[in-house]
Amino acid sequence: MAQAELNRKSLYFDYPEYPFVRPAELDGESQRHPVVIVGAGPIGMTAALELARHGIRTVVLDDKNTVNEGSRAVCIARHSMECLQQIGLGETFEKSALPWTRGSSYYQDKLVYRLRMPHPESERYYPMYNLQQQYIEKYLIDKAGENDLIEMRWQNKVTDIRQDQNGVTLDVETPGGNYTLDSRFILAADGAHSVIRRQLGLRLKGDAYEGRYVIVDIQMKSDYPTERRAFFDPSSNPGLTILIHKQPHDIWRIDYQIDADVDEQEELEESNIRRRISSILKMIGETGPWKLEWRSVYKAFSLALDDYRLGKTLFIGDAAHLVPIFGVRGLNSGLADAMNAAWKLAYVLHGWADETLLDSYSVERRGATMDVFENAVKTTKFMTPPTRGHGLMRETVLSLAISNEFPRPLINPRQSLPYTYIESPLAMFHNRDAEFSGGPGVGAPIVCHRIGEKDSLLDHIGIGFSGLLFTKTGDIDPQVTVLLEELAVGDESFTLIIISRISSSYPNATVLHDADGKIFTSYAAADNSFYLVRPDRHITARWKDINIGEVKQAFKQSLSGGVSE
Amino acid sequence: MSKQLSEEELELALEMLAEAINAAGAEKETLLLSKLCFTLANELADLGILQAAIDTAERDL
Repeated sequence: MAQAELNRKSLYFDYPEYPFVRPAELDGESQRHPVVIVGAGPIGMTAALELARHGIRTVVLDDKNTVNEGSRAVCIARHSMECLQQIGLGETFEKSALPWTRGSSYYQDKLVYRLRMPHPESERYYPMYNLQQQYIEKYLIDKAGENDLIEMRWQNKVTDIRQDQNGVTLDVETPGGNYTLDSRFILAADGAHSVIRRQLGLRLKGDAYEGRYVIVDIQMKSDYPTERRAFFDPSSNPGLTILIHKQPHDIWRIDYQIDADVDEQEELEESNIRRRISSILKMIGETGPWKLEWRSVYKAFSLALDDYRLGKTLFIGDAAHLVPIFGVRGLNSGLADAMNAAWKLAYVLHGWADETLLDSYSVERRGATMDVFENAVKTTKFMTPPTRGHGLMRETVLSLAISNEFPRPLINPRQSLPYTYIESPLAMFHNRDAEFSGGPGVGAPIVCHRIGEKDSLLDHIGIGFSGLLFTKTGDIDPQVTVLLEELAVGDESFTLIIISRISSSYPNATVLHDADGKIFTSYAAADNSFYLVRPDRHITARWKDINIGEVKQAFKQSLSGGVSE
Repeated sequence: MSKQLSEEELELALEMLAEAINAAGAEKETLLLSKLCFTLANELADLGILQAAIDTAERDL
């Protein structure tokens, strides 16, 4: 039976209690839902909101009756803020989260590396924001509550899954009894311990790392700016590592590595936590009072499914992959999974695309995971050296970095960056792509160029496919209007954005006046260049000089999953 | 020391050295590293550069 669990107490956050609502299936009603999402965490909720944006109804199941406890995935990358903006939450997150661009790494209390993440004027968002996961989840759930297309079912625990070529059947336990739920597709967003994954007999494959970290939230007043601080071999944790992040509401997240041979449960005892935190705070010069908020323990993994799709089930977020915490990739890659899977599912369910389109989900997002692994493994080896050799070499790098520049890049935490789907079947016309000397290439996300204080290119991108047409003279080929008709599907219109060096207007298009040519430059565009952009703002193809026949072909081919007719 | 490794090469060098240290084991580790330094000194064929490298390594010990 699904258990209610609202015994969570917090110094600053009121855990909401979501009511159990008796599902219609318990009273004999039966229907096949388009999509059931298992898991109401940040990834599942993002998928629900993106599917709703494309007009798809979802049922979201979760065995809890509140949000997850603790700050958990605290860092939101720029590309995730862009996803959140697409589902209507950019400003909500921007108002609450703490933006940051910098970090400091210390070795034996000496500064050895200053992280500076680029934050050009042209970017709408900062490279990184800190916000506790409780808020991330609550904002998403609140937003879903405003949408009639999303049905939340709390205290609904999935116990089994069966699927065939027509759809999926779930067995669900609730406080009001058990029922079965039919769906055409399932999004498994049920996290690291995914029931769906287990019941389908699938296993994550990869590596586990030796190092363990205790992660603690404390409340403390401090003027120290928002940045990432890493301490290697510090006086308060000799031979090991500490990470510190500031969060809203005077909450500080402190992660400290523990020795391989210590007992985890003993380390988590309150008296031990208090002793450790006091020592760390003394080391960094914080002398004010503080309160303990939340604590947990963490171990690094690089694990993924072989395929993120099995029949009618798509795995998103931690259900599909577990990535090391260092470099803040867990939440950020999960959000990209959700956006990627959602538009493709929507297009298939509307009948606008072949089901083969769904195959590209795993190619693209598993590719992104492998890229994450490559970077995260390097970072993780540095954060938790797996062997004596790696430990000694880390000490070598850190010691040399005190007085020398050359080893310092090796201390870079390699923060999360968006992935370019270069090997995707939906990335097309690579020969045309090669004609550009720069700008975002095929498979990359667009540059959400800032236009005004709260206005960026992303604000003008449509729900469906969009096209960016660049003009220096304002003379537009009348044939472009063909795209408006032929690249619209169902009730999702094709959005044409004309980026013009001169002030002009064009029927049925948004014209952005690029007076100083900065958008032209960031897209390496020439007169008549064209970018075809997918609903998740990744680039399908681009042409230095628009070729309308090829644009139509690329669009058509996208809807058939990259397969040419 | 004008010729330097790229960041990618430094990463690879770090990994190669870590593996070599692991293979040598704790008992032979110091001998391995001494032999490595002496071999590299010979390859370097410049005592001035060797002295500068020793000064760099001695700093912040």
